[in-house]
Amino acid sequence: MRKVLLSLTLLCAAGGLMGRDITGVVMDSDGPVPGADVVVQGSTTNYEITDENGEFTISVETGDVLEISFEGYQTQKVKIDSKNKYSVKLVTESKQLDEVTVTGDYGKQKKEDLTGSTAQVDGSKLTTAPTPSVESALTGKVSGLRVSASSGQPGQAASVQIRGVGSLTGSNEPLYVVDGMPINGGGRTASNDNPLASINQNDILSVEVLKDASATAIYGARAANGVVMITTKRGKNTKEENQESSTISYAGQFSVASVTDKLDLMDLQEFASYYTDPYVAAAYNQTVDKELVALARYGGSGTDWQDEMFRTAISHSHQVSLTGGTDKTQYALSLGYMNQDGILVNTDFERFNTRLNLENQVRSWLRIGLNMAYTQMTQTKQNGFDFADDNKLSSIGSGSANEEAVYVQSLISSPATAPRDFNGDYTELGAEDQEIKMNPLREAYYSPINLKKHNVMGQTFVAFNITKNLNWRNSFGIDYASSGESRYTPAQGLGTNQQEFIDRENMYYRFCSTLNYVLPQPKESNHKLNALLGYEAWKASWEGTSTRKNNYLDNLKFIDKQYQNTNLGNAEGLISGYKGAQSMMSTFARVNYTFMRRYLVTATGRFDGSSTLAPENRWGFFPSFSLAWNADQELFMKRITSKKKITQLKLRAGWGQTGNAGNNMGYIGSYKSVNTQNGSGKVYGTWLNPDLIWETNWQLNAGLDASFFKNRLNLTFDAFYKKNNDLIVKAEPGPTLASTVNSYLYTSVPDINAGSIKNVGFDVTLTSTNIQKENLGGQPFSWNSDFNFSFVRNEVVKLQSDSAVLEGKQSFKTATRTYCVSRVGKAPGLFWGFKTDGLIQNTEQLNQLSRADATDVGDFNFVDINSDGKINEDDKTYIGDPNPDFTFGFGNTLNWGPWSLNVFLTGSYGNDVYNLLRSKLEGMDRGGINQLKTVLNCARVETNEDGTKYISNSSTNIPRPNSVAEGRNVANVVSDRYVEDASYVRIQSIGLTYSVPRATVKKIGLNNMRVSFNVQNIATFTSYSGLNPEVPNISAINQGVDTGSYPLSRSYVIGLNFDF
Amino acid sequence: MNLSNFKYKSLLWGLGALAFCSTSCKDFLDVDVYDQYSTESVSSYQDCLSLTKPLYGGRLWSEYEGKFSWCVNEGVPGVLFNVHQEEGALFLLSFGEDNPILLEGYRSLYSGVIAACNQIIDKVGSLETNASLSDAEKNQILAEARLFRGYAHFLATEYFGEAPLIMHSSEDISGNKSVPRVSRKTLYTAIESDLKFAVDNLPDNPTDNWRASKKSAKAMLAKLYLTMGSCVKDLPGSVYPFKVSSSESAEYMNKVVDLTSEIIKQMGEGALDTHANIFSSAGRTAPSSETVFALYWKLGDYGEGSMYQAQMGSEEVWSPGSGWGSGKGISYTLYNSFDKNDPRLYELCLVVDHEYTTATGQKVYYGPNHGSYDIKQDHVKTGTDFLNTGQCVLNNVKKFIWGVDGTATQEKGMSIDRRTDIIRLSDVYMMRAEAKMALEDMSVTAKSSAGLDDINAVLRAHGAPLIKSAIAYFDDMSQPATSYTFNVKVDEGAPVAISVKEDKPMYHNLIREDFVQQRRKEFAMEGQAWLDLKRFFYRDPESAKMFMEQMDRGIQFSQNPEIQDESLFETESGYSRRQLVYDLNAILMKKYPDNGYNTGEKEPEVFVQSFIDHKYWFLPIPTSAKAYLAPGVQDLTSQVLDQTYPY
Repeated sequence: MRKVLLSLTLLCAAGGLMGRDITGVVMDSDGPVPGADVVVQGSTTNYEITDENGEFTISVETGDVLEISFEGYQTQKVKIDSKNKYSVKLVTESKQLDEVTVTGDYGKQKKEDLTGSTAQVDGSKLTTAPTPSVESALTGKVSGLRVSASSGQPGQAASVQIRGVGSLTGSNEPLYVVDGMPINGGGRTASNDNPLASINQNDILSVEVLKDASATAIYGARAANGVVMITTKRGKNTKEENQESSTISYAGQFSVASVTDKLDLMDLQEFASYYTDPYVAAAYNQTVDKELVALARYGGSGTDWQDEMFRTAISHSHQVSLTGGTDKTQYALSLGYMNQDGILVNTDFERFNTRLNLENQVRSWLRIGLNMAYTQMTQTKQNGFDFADDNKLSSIGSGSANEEAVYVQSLISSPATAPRDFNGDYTELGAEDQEIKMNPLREAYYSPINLKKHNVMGQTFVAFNITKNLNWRNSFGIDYASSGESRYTPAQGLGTNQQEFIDRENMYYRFCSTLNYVLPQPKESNHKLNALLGYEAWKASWEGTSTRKNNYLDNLKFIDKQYQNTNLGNAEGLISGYKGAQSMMSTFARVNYTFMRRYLVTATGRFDGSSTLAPENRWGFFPSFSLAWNADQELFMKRITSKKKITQLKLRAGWGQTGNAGNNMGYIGSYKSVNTQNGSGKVYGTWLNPDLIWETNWQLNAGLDASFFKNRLNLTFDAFYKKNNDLIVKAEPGPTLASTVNSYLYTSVPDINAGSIKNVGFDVTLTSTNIQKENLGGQPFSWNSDFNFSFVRNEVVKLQSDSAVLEGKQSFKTATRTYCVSRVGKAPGLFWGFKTDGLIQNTEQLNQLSRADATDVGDFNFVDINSDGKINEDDKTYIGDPNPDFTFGFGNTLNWGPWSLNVFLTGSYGNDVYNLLRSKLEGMDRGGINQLKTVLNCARVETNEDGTKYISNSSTNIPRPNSVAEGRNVANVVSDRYVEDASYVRIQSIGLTYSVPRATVKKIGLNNMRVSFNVQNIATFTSYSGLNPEVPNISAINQGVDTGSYPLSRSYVIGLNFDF
Repeated sequence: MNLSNFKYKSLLWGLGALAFCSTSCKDFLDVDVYDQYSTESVSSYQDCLSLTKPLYGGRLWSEYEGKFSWCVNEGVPGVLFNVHQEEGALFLLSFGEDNPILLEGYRSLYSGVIAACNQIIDKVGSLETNASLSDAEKNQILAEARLFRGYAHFLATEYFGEAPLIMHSSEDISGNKSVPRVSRKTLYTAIESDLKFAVDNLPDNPTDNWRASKKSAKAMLAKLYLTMGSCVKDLPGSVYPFKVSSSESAEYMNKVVDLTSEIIKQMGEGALDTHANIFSSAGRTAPSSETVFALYWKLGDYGEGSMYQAQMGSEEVWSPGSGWGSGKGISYTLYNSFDKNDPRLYELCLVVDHEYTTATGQKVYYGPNHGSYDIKQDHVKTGTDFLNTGQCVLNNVKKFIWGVDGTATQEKGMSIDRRTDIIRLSDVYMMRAEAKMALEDMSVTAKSSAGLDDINAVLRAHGAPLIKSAIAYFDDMSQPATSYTFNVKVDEGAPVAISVKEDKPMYHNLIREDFVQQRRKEFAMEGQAWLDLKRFFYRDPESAKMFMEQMDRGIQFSQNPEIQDESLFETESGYSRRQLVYDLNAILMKKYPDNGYNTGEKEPEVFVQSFIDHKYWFLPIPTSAKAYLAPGVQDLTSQVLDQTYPY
């Protein structure tokens, strides 16, 4: 019946003209190709598909042109002459990037053969932004990958999460693998260290993100949070590329950056009118400041500290690379330099790097290679921005304040004070024990944190072809970093005249040996098999010293940079050190089997042994299993769907397990040496838990890859269910240690396996060619879109006990308070505090409340959640969720001849931020510090004749100023007053590229030349009142609290690329 | 290239690599802790000795010593007057389970000492014995830890009654919130087992003379038996009351006599020493001749040394920069019960116009000036040359107060070196006396001469007046109600007589000679008074109740009192009534509404009713600790006995 219909359609299409039937066979180098498309050019209806033997029959007329296509092969055209039998040979397409997933030491796989969930980003897409760190450039590019660029400090790491939260108190960062070698591998790195900053993005060929457990399983331990694989550019056989000689390329960028926005702080006139208001002065128990009145009378807006602290930052980078080679030897050599200034004064990042990738086919059976990079970096940072990072690494659910950050200090500095006096010297402002602690500008110039780092990273390999089908590869890699950090603190401001140096040395080496067997494939075989067996071992070691000396040149309050060293100190020094190591050893095996190109099976198993666990618990086994079905290869699918509508349809399902052994050797406790009257004794410093085992992460993934309309629309959809069990967390103290986390006692609780968390979600990636015209005004035109969307829901399934609460604490405004809580059955890190219900408008309303505190008219009305007539701890409730409902990225590229315009948007929806910085800037609990303009409309409490009070400006939502330290309004009471919706849409970049036509560049001796103009971080649409809705996350249980990060910048970038 | 030949080479390579991997496998993953002493590094006797050192004072005991000990051991039984905030709440008996000082003591015992002991017991218990650690050495270490664990549990149960019993270090990290409070019998059984092990395994004379010896363990065991043997009455309020029959009691008391006699025989009566020597500045750190079992504090960092001097001392004299002794003093009831010829009084507290010498040789006096009493340095007592005109303060504790040397920093003042005797020989004598008295007569008020030799041995050695014929455990206080007249100074005018009728006699007026009072005088400020009172309570709850009820806690050292009553107080002692116990304030307010009594500071009230109601003879378990405990009490004695106790 179907054939009849088809014939009828054909009849109509042919307009009544009957052609003749011809037959043919489609072959490739291995034999017949079933399922290839055979289409009569120009026809939308006349097509056939080759059968199991690669044969086809189609009705044609002489002169027709047949197009024979099959994915992975070049399309062949055959002109129909008088012959009735044709044989068509398909040639594989030259290697395309997105076809092969390079799995480093673990072998290569065609994308077609993959059964797991992966995504790939072309290296060229990462170089438009002038950021030193590659992960920032991945923002919004991959579904399921959430990048939070929470700091504008040049060189600072952004936080990256793949598919939600895997660990409650530990890191959720993925494993980064460069050319097959894991970096930042095991062990502790310096707290200020961002290993990714040592990689020059211009060297990157591609970045792949492995998301589900079946894709990451081969990486075993440490891959529990997913894997980001970075592949650097290789050399090439110039002959194969039809080039005469090697290629020399240059890539340069010049950019100008400035702050995107400023906070709306009071200027001098507003500051004076606020603080000289008798009502306000009385609230702070002050008399009206007559000097301030006088100062304001002179007019002017006073010191705008934000203007003083921010600057227009200029950055430039240059890279020269050489790639080339012969059929035996390929090489790629690059030299790069980058100098980036930060938008805050005296912050910058400078990097020099060089990389050599070299491979040689020594004999037909022997291949050797080297890739090696050296990087030197210096970084100048302002204090205060690193504290959160420190805590992130120590994996504790508490954060520390940015209260002393010069940036935060500048925000509260009075517009009535000048940074410099008439002589140009810095004015003395503030003191350590005051709210305003320093002259922030002077602190910025005299007391930054200077970091220096030398890094050598790379590996060599030797590969043997034992037989044609059996390859044995051995690689040895190192990652060595030596870094130094220095910090000078002047006598004024934050404290004593003091110099501190921290020297760190990190060494990581790794050995990997793999045997890779490929099943010989006779022509008639429908079986494809690839098996991998391997062994891997790595060891990381770290040590460092910290030296400090006080009171040097004590007759000076602060000294110039060139004299800042410990040799000049004259007081007792303080020296401490640390040293540690960690190792891991693994064996693994993987089998990929494909039957008839349609049915794919991958099975992986990996044994990992970690030095962090007790010998008897040391080894973990992590299996994974996945299946895929290339449905589009099925003949029946080809027959029932027009190949033009569905070009690819692949269904995937996988299950796998990975593990994490933690970074602390929890099975060995440690003693602290203690002084006793009778000599030195030992007590437990850290308690041991010999029963610590691997935490496991199992993940179920089901996915779909589909391409429609001749690949003009591509869809990848993955749904996943991820569960992490036996999470390694700090123990809840038992009855003995009950509520005793106390400095008197030595013992800190050990790591234990407790708790479980699950993540459910889906990722969608959609790429489309919306418009494709061969000719638009004489030039080809196309419009392509990329859209990715990630949805994750996470929930704490289990903790040490059902009633356990993990608290996320931040210290700010001198007190450490809990802002986030994680409980069983809820998403991790929910904000916890009082709910407000407007302001207490009058005495009558006040008297309805039972009060223990100093609450008065004009304060926030807290909701009595448990209706017991009292407002106390029991009335705290969930007041916000820092976990986003979904995140997305949306890119559009318009190509018109040599011009290319790119617009890229990212966004996040449904996440709240606790604006702790605003609590300082709108808290009104301390006199004399600058505040947001909103406080000008603070509640004015008036008194009636009968002594009752009321708010005269009743429409305000800003409470009364109040210097009572524990009142309801003050900054340190956690309430929904500071919880804000931080959903946003950001125009991340708009770029315009002009590729100079070949004919033109040839004239000046070049092969290619490209000029680009790019604007980064153009606009953010959000209702969030702070400068950046992305805030640093300390851990899953302590996230979304804005303590005042380094603001993001908007930058204008001009780029020039050419090669010859 | 011959392929088969190459295969052979590859095979060699491969075998070599495999050999490399397999041989290095084990070592490769054995990474140690390099920048700390790891638990793995402890294996020899010497290593183990360093583990038990911290049990003898320092941070583990720091919170217990910091406030809890003197607030509970001295404040609650009325040895130390102090009405300051939470500390004072314990003296005024107005505390609840939220009082932070209770928590400090609880966690010092459990999170500090008991936790550390369990860690040592579990760690050392798992060590293999060999040449560097013999079986006897291993057992000695275990015995030291078990002695301290027993002692800490003993304190815990005397303070908190039915308290948790923690015997395994793993419990501390279990997160288990259903650990039960256990019956006193369970606790006593476990403590007895620990102490017996210590008696069996501690050496007679340890190489380090400060370490616990066999006699330390015997003395603690005697203390335990004395306590258990005293429990002869029904106590209300518990599902598992601890009570022994009279024959059992006698058995315990006989054991006490045996154990104490062994110690006395070993040490000899000559070891008894004067208070001046025992509490001398020069000998404050080393064991004294009386020391049987003691803690030792190191001069040094906060938490390592003793905070006692900073808490009791005067800033001007003893602890420059960190003396918070103001407002604290030996209670009038105790002061007044001393014979003024008893030299122990002058070691216990500063007596007006008596000369004292500080560690640095300064002469100091405590005396009146300009309406105030103050401590002055290098004062030559001529007329009115006291320089300071500061407010009158009660600040007269002297025992253990020497002042640190002239180079002392503020931190050091907070952390002085000293010895704290847990049990000294006088206590061993007094325990034997108490046991003998108990064996003689179960009634507390009956006079006896059974233990008199032992009591007098102590008094004689200390230069105190001896007891002539017989002594009662506790003097009968059931006397008729009395009426008192106070001369109250109103508005700078002449004192006005105010009469108050009481239905109970006031204890301050009695110079007592009973055994309880003898112990109070001998061991004041040594952490014994509460434990003594507890035994008294077990023996006779009604008398103990009366003792609490009739003690006058309202008198402090003051020269500027609102009430002056020449007839009641020895003026030269400097004591006068300032804080009111009974309803005097209300009378004053009514009578003189315009003289500031109605607006002035509220006089603290003494909540003696809690003790009358038996509520606080056992202190409440602190709120935040309670959150980690199962409700109710369990008797797990059998599990302790068959060594299956799970927690």
